[in-house]
Amino acid sequence: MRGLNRLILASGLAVGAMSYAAPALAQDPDAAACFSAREEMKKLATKNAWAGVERKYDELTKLSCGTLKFDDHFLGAQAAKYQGKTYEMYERLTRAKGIDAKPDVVSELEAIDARYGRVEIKGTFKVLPTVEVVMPFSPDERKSIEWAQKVLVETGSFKGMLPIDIEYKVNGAGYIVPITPHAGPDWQAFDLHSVGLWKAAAGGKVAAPPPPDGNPPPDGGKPPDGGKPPDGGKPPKATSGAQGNIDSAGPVAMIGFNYLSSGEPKAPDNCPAPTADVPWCPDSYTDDTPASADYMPTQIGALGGAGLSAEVGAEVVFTGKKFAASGTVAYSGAFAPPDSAHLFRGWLAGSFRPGNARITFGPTYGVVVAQGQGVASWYDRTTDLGNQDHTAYPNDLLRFGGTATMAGFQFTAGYGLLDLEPLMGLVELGGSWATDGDRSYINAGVRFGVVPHIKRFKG
Amino acid sequence: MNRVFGVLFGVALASQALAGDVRYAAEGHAYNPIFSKDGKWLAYEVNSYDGGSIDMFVSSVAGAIAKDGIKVSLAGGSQFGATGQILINPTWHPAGQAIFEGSNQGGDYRLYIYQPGGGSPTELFTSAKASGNLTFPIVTADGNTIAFVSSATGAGDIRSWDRTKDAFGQLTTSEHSESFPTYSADNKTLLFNRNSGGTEDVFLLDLATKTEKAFVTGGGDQTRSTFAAGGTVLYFSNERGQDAWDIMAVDAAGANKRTVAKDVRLPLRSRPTLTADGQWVSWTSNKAELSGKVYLGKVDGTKTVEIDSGFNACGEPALAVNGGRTILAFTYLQNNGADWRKLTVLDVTDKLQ
Repeated sequence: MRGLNRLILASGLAVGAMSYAAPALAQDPDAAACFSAREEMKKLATKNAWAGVERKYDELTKLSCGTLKFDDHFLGAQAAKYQGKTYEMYERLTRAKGIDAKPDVVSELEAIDARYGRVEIKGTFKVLPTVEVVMPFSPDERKSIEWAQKVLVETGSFKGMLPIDIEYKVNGAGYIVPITPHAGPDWQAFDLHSVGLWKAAAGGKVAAPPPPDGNPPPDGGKPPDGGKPPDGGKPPKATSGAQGNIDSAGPVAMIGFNYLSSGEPKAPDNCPAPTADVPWCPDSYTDDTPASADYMPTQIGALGGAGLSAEVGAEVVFTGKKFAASGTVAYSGAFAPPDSAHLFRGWLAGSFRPGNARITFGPTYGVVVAQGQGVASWYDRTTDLGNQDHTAYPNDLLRFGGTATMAGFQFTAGYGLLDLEPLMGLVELGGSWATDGDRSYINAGVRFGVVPHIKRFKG
Repeated sequence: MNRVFGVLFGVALASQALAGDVRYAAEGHAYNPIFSKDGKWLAYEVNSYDGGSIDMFVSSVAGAIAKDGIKVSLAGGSQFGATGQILINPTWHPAGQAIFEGSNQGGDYRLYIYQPGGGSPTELFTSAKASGNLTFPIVTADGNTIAFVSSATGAGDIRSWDRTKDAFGQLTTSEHSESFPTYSADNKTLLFNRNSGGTEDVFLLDLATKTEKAFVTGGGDQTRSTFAAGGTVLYFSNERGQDAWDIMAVDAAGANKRTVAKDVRLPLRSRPTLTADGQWVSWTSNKAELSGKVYLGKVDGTKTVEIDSGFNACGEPALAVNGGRTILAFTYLQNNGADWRKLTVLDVTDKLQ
């Protein structure tokens, strides 16, 4: 019975403690999220689910958890270690050491200092860096190199730590020698631009790599072992290093609403200044009947209307995954009874695609088919029947119809909201300007649709 | 003043006396010290015989002074307080990493690699790449290949892994149990033991042709073979009797055997230990009256040096060259009533002149 009483008392205390803590967590959503992330992190660590630990650590760094704790950084470091992210591991251990310089943390940092160095490898947007290496013995070191290779393939660059005493041949063009923390704070830099691999992608020669900053290789770019590369004594070949310019390609299909506006064209230069009685330009046109007019851009009045727009085409994403090019054909309708206009355009665009964003710009060429009522206020037509009777045929009531060609530019800015791999669903705002030589057409709208999904690397 | 000087002198003497001992934060018998190739690190086992755990420690060695041992723990053990880890049979990669057998919570023995001072060791191969119990690791002199015994086939066959190709090889495929693989200096041949008919013999495998031949056979066990200078093979033999172990030498397959050392104390797991040039071998005696002595002998039999340690029951000798000095490690009992076998290191350079 006494045991039961104790149990009840203990349960009561526990419930009390929980009821005290719960409101505090409920009042601060970030605190609750931090608590949850930490608990999850520990659970995942016991299961050796290090990718999950990494995600939780990332969450913790983004939440308002205050200063992270020793255990947060330590577990984060272990997660990084198991994925080969040696530099991230080093940073996290350094933070953990700043909180509590435990011997095992210090020794682990010393071990990294002794075996790893810093490198920064940059590709060009046409050429991804590749690192050839004879893998080391240690699984940790192998993971570190495999991680770097993965990052290079996915992002085109890598900044991190790699094991030392290993030959790294970058794009067959030169060698990198990681700089250990003992040797200084510098990073061994290798930029494909600087070794001519931009040209190499087009079949050009590759220049010798520059001496690494602060830690030149023993023989001006030859392998650290004195000149014998790992492929049996042959000197490194000047390979193109080109992986191809296209990363991926896919369709573009958009649909949306747009508004077209085109102001009244200015009167011919030789027109007298309009007056209240004679606002038109006498005898500015001398054919056809005054009851209607061909669609002549120089003549018709202001256009304005809204309608649907649609666009289809294709886009190619270049190596490097930041730039793309697209070619599309588009239709934009503008309706403002009795006026209507139909724009058919071709568009060649270059795209900048950082993250989920898509920003495009490029020239357009097309034709507008319009019909309606109302020509320019200065319009005056002289026919075989005599001068235009503006009372019987006021310009506002003259009908028109016809086509015109135009050229201009279009700009859009969009953001991907749906991952529909291999496509991405996005919404975008756009605008265009075009001219047929006599008047400008301004079009703006909002569109929804799909473009090629770019598979992004999430490290 | 004299009193102060006396205290300081006493402290200095005490420090000097303790300088060779290897300290570690554990109670148990120290066993199987193995030096790294450069002699700068010493890995050893500590067995307390209380619950099936065998710890491993690694000490940095400078001359005859070893720093306090760093305990090596498998991942999941140290962090979350698990026990029951067995870490044994270390060998060293030329790059300074210890490779050893490890078993966690009674699970399979797997191979682990440990960078001294570098946190937890890492499993060398996942089970998906190499399944079963993996034991007896040994690395080639160039550090590119490791051989080990795998229980996945036969009664324990020898496999290898080439890091340059990330490829595994099957070196033996017999129905018998193989153990103690050892590469020759040129990496062209591999010595190993095979247990057939209840006794062990030494075999030699040509790695290019994959042909093997019996190298040393005889009554009793011929075991733990290793290459000495000039391709001479040393091994332990109890051909004279169950508990009468000798270190024997043979220069070629089927050649005459000669005794290098008689009535030696058989180490727990290690092969005969040699200096880096392969010319000297060390052993201890299983004779009670000689148990305080450690011996260094030339492999060709021309010279033997006796070192009186002042301890009892010396065993498990290990040799290395560190900074141009030849260092000897061995275990001992402080006295006959001592609880635990301890480990010490000595500079024996002058003894080899």
